[in-house]
Amino acid sequence: MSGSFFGGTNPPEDDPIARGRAAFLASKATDLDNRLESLALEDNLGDQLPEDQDTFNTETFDADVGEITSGEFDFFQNTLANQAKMTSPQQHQHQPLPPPPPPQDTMQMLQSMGVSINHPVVPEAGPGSEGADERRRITTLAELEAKIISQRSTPMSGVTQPARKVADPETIASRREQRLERESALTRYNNMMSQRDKEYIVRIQVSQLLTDDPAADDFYCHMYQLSRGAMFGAMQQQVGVAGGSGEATEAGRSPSAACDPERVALAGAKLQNGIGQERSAGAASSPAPKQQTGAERGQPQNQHLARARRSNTQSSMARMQQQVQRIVNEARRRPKVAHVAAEGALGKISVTSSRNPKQAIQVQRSHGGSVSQGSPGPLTEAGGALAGLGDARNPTAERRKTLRAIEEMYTGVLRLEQLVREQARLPNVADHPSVQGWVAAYSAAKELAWAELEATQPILNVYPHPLVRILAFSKGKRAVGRLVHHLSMDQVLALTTTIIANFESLDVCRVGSFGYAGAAESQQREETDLFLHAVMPAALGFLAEASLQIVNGLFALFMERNNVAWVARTRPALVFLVVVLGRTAALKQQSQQSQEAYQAAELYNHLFNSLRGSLATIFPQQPLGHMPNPTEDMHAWQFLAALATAASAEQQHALVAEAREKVLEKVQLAKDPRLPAEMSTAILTNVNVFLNALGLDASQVTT
Amino acid sequence: MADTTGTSVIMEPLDLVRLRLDEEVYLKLRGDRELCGRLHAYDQHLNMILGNVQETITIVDVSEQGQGQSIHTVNRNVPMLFVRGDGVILVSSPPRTA
Repeated sequence: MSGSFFGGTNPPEDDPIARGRAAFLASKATDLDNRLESLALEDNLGDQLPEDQDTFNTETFDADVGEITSGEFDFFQNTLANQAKMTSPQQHQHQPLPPPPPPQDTMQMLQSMGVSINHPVVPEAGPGSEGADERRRITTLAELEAKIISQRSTPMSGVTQPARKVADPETIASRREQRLERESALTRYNNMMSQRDKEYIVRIQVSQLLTDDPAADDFYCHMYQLSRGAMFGAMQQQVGVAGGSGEATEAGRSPSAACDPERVALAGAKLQNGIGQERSAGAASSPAPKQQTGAERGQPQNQHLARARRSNTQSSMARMQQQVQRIVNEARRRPKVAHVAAEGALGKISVTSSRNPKQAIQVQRSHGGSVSQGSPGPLTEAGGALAGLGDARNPTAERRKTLRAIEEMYTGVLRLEQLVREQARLPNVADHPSVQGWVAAYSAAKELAWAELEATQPILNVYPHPLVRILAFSKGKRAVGRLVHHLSMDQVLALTTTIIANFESLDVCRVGSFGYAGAAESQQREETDLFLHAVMPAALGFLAEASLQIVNGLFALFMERNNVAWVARTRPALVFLVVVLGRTAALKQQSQQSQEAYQAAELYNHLFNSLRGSLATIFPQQPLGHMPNPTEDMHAWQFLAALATAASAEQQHALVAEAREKVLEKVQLAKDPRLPAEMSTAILTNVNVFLNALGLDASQVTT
Repeated sequence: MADTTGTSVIMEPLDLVRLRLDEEVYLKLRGDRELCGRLHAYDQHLNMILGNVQETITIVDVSEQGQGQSIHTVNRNVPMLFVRGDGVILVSSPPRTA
C-alpha cells in the first residue's frame, strides 16, 4: 500500500516535504486510511514539517539566524562589511558585483560611456571594515548617477536633449532598478515546492470540479456567455439552440440534472477547453503590453522576459490539461460513492460534498395535491350555468390555474430543450432503443406543453380563452415563443388560428396599445414588444408560407371574430394585417383568376369598408408635450402602404383623402427647424413608405 | 427547478413559490424587514434572487424613560439582490395598494 491514490510510487526526493510524506504513507498504511485519504485528500503533512529551523535562510543569506534577527538589517553596517570581506583588495578596475549589484548591461553601458567605476566615495564607517580602499570602491547607485550626469553634461551639451524622458540614462537606471526590485520580490520565494507537489495540489483542486453532468452544472455560465455573445470557452455544440432569448428568469430556468456517467469525460474536456481558451486569451493579452513597452524602451531584456512568461503559461496550461485528463480517467475508473463502509466496521461514513449535501428534513411527497387536481377542461365543462364566468367567479383561482398551466408548459419546454441538447449524442441508427426512448420522451414532453395551450379548440365558452390567459403573462409569451420551435406545422396552424380567433381579447390588444400614461404605458409597450418578438414571428412565419386558401381562411376568421376598426388601433393587429395583405398580394400574382384570388379581393374590400372613415385612428395618439418618436407610427404607415398596393383607384382616392391630414401634419413636423436632422429624415421616410406605394413622394407635398 | 418525473408540477408548498417566478413578490424577513420585488430565482432553502427590489426596514425608537415609542421606516431600492434563505419568514404576493 505504498502508492497514494493519484501518484505513483516514486522514490523520495531530496526535498524534506516529499520525504516526510513518503514516511507518513509508509508508516500508517492501512486500507481505511488510504481510502479516506483518497476521498478526503488531506494528509496533515503540515504537522510533520520541522519549523524550528530556519533552514532556507541559512542557504540564502549564509548567515546565522540570530545574527540577522538581532538588529535591523542595515546595508551599510552588515552587508557592506561582509562584501568588503569577500572582495579582494587587488581588484581596482572591473568589479562585476559591487553592492547592490547593478545588472550587467548597466555596467557595460556605464563603462561604454567612459565612466570610471571606482571613483572613490566614502560611505559611513561600519564596524569591521578593512581599509579605505574597499570602502571607496563600493559606490552606491546614487553616486553613480550623479557621476553620469556630470559626465554627460559636458560631451552632450552641444546636442539637443531628446524630448522623451525615457532616453535619460538616469531614469533608465532607476526604472531598471525598480523593475528588478519588483521581480526579485516576486521570485524571492520561488522553487519551494517540487513539481510533484504542485501537481498534487492542482489535482486535488481540479478533482473537486468534476461533475457528472457538466451541461446542467454549468448551465447558468453557458447561458450567460451565450446571451452575451461571448467568444471564450463555451462548447457551443453541447449547449444547443435554446436559451439565448429572454431575461434573467427565463435564462435561469435550468433543466433537470440528468445523471450520465459518460459526461465526466465531457467535464474534463470542457474544463480543458475552458481553461485552455481562457488561459490562452489571458496569456495572449498579457505579453502584448509587455511587448509594447519593451519596444518602446528598446531593451532586449523585456522581450526575452515576455517570451519566457508566455511559454511558461502555455506549458503550465498543457500540464493542467494533462492533470485533468488523468483525473477524469481516475474518476471514471473509480466512481465517487456517497457512503464508505469498511469491512468489519460498524457503520457507514458518509462523504458530504456540495453535490450530496446533508439532508436536513424529510419531506413526504403526497401525490394528488388539491391544487393539481383537475385541469381547466373538465372543471369548466361541469360548471353548468357558471361555466363561462370562470374568470369573474374567482379571479385568484383562475390566475393560479393559468400560472400552473404556464409552469407545466415550462416543464415541457425545458425537457424538450434538454432532449434537443442530448440529441447530438445519440447514435444515428433509427431503431436503436435509446433513440426510440428519446423519441418517446420528446413527444411526451411536447404533448405535455401543448395540452396546456388548448389551442385545438379555438373557440371555447370560457372567456378569455386559456391560451389568451397564458399569453397575458410575459413569461407565458416567452414560453410560447420557445415552444413553437418544436411544434409541427399543424400545431402552429392551430395556434395561429386560436390567436386570431381571440385576437380581441389578447392583453396587448385590450384597450389599445396607446393612450396610457406613465408607468402603465411603458409596461404595456414592453408587453406589446415582447408579444411581437416572441409570439408573432412564429405565427407570421407560418403565414408567409401558407397557401392562399389558408390565408384567406385566417383573414376571414380575423375579421369575423374581431371588431376590426377597434382592433386596428393596436400594433399587433396592424402587423398581422400587413403580413396578411402582403402575402395575399404575392399569392394573387401567381393565380389571378382562381377562386381564392376572388375571395381574397372580397375580403380586402370588406376590410377596407370596415376601416373606412376611421383610418386616422390607427395612428398612435401622442400625449401633449411628448417628443414625437419617429418609429412609433412606422407600422401604421406600413399598413396604409399595404392597403394602398392592393387598392383599386377609387379606394386609393378614399385612402388619400383620409390620410391627407396626417400626411400633411407629418411633413410639416419634419420641416420644423427645431427638430434634429435625423428625426426629420426618419419622419419623412415613414411617410414615404405610404406615399411611395401610391406613386407619390413626400417632396411633392406642398404645405 | 424542473421536475424529472412525469408528475404534476404542484406537489408541495415550495412549488407555489414556483408559480410566482417572474412576478412581484412580497417577502418578510427577519429583522423587521420587508422586500418587494420581482422574483427571478429561488431554491429549496428559499435563497432568492430578486430584481427591482424595494426594501423597507421598520425601526422602533424607544425613547428613554419610556416616554413612548415612535415607529418609522427606512426605504431602500436595489436593482438586483440575493437573499439568503434562512432570513426569509414569509413569501407572498404584494399588497394590492399599488
